[in-house]
Amino acid sequence: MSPFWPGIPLAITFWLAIACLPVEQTLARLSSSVRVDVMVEDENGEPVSGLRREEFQILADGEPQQSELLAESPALTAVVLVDISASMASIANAGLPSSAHGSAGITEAVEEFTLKGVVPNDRLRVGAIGRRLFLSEQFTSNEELWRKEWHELFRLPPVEWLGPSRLWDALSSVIELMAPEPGQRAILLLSDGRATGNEASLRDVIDQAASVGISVNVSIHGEPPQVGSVRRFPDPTEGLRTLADETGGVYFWTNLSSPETYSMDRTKGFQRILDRLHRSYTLTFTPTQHDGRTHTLDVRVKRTKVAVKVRRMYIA
Amino acid sequence: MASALVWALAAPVLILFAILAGPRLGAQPTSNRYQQVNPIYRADTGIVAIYATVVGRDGRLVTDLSKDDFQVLDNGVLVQLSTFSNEPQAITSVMLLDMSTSMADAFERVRETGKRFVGTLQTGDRLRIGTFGGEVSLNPLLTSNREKLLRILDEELWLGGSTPLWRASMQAIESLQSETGRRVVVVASDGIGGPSDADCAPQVFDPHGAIGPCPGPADVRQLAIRTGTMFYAIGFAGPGLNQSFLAFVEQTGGGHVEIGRTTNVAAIVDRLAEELRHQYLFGFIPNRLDGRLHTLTIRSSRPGVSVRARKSYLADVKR
Repeated sequence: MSPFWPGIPLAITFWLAIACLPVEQTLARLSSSVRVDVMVEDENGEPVSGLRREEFQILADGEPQQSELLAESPALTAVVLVDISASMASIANAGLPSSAHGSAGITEAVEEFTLKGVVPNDRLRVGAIGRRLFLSEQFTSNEELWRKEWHELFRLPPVEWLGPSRLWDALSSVIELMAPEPGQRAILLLSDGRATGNEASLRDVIDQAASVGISVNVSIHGEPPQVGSVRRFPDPTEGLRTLADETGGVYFWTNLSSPETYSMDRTKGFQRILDRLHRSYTLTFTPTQHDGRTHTLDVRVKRTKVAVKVRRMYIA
Repeated sequence: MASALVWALAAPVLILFAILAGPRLGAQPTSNRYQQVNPIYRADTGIVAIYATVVGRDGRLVTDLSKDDFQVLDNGVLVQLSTFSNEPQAITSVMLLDMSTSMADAFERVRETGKRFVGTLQTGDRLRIGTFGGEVSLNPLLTSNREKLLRILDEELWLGGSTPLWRASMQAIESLQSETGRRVVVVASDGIGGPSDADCAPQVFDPHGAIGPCPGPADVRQLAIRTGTMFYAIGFAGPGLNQSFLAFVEQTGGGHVEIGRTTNVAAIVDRLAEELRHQYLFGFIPNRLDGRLHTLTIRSSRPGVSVRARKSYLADVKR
C-alpha cells in the first residue's frame, strides 16, 4: 500500500471545501492580512482628506503594527436599513402636519428620508426592520432598481411594524450576509434604538460586526442627551451610539418629530454618513499571530485635534 | 485494495458531511427537556388538566395532600381522576411587563420584579419575556437561560404608549399554544387607565384596520379557557387592575398580588414562584365532548383549606 494513501481523502476534502466557497471568500480566508477602514474627522466633525500612510499607526493588542495604506475613497458595499417599528411611527408623526403623513403613518414620513449621496460604484441593498427583516434581493449599483425597492419597503402592512422591533436580530442577519462581500462594507441605519424581542444582544451584534470589519453607521431619531442631566430611564440611543463607536461607524442626530428640522433632516437623509464613508481610508496589516481569536484594535493619526473612527477589534 | 479505494473515495464526503452537519446533529433540543423526563401530562392526550393551588387558613401553601383528599366535579358530577400529582411542577410561562407611560414611577420595580422572577427559575422551567406599551413585543426566546433573560430585562424595556393589555395577553397565550403541560402568564401592570386604553394602542396607526379588530376581554377569556392557560397579575400602584381583568385572572385559576411603593418585591415574587411550583395536578377524561363550556369544581376533605383552580373548560376536541 502506498504510504501516501491516507492523505488522498484529506486532500480531496480540503479541495472540496475550498471549491464550495466563492472566490472572494476563499481569497479572503487564505489571506493573512487584516483590512482596517478608518474615518478621520477634524475638530468640527468634518472628514480629513489627504493623510499619508506614515501619519497612521495601527495598534493591535496595544502593539504597533507595520501597515499599508491601500486607497482613499474606496468603493462601498452597503445595506441601508430603516427601522419602521411602531415607536418610530410615533416619533415620525409627532411633529408633522397631518397632510404630511395622512393615513399611511410612518410610511410616508420615513420614505422621504433620502438616499442622497450614493455614488455610481456603490453597491446597495435596502431593507426595513419591523417584526421581521425585509431586504431587497441583491446588491446592485443600478439606481433605478434600488430606488424602486426602497419605496416598496414602505408598502408593508401594519402587522409588520406594530412590534416587536427586532433591531439586533436584523442587524445580525445583515452582518452575516455581508461578511463575504469584498471591499469596504457598511450598514446605514435609521432608528430610535428601542429594540425589543431580540434573540441577539447588542454586544453580540457589536462583536459580530467589528470582528468582520463591517461598520454600523446610524442616523439616530431623537435628541442628543443634555450634558449634566440625569436620566430617570434608560436611553435607547445609547446602544446605537455604542454600536457605531465600536464598529468604526459614525452617527448623526435626526429629529423627524420636530417641524423645524423635519424637512432639513429628511432631505439630508443618509448623505452625511455616505460622505464620511466615501472619504475614509483603508489600511492593512499582517498580524504576527494567526490564532483565530479576537484582538483589540486601535488606529492613531499623527495630527492634533482629529478623531479616528475605527472598529475596536479584529479576528486574527 | 478495493476497500482502500472505496474508503479513499467515500472518506472525503463523510468528513465533509460530518463537518457541515456535526453541529446540527450534535445540538440537543432543550425546549421540552422537562416533559421528556417527567411526562405527567401532555396537552394533546384528551385529558382535561387542572392545576390547583391549596392554601390553609394562615394563607400558607398546603402541599401534602393526596389524591384521596380531593373531589373534582365536572358540571357538578364527580369524575374519576386519571392523573394526580403533588410533585413540584416545572413552570412554562410568559412574563408580560407593562411599559405604558403611567408606569414611569414603577419602572425600576417592574424590572426588579422581572429579575427576581428570573432568579427563581429552576431546572426545567422556561420563561418568555414580553412588554406592552407603544408596541406589544414578545421575545422569541422561551428559555431557562438566566443570562439571556436578564439581558432582555436590561436591554429591552422602554417606557411609552398606553396599555394594550388584552392584545398583549392574547399574544402571550398564543405564544404558548404549542407548548405541552402547564402554561402560565404573569402580568405586571398598573392597570388600564381609562376606556381608551382598553383598546389596542397601536390601532391609531392602523386606521384601515388591516391588522384586524383588537381582541377584547371576551376573546382573551375564550382562548385562555380553551388552552387552559393560567394568569397571574402583579398590580403596581396606579389606576389599579380593573375588575374585568381580575375576574379573568380568577377564572383561569391564577392569583393576584399588589406591589406598593414600599412593598418587598422579592418576597412577593418568591411567594408567586413557590405557589406555581407547588400546585397539584389533576387530570380526567371527559365523558362527553359536547363542545360546551363545563364548570369545574374542586373540593378538599381537609378542613380549613381552600382550593383555587380554573373554573371551567371547553369540552371540545380542539381543546
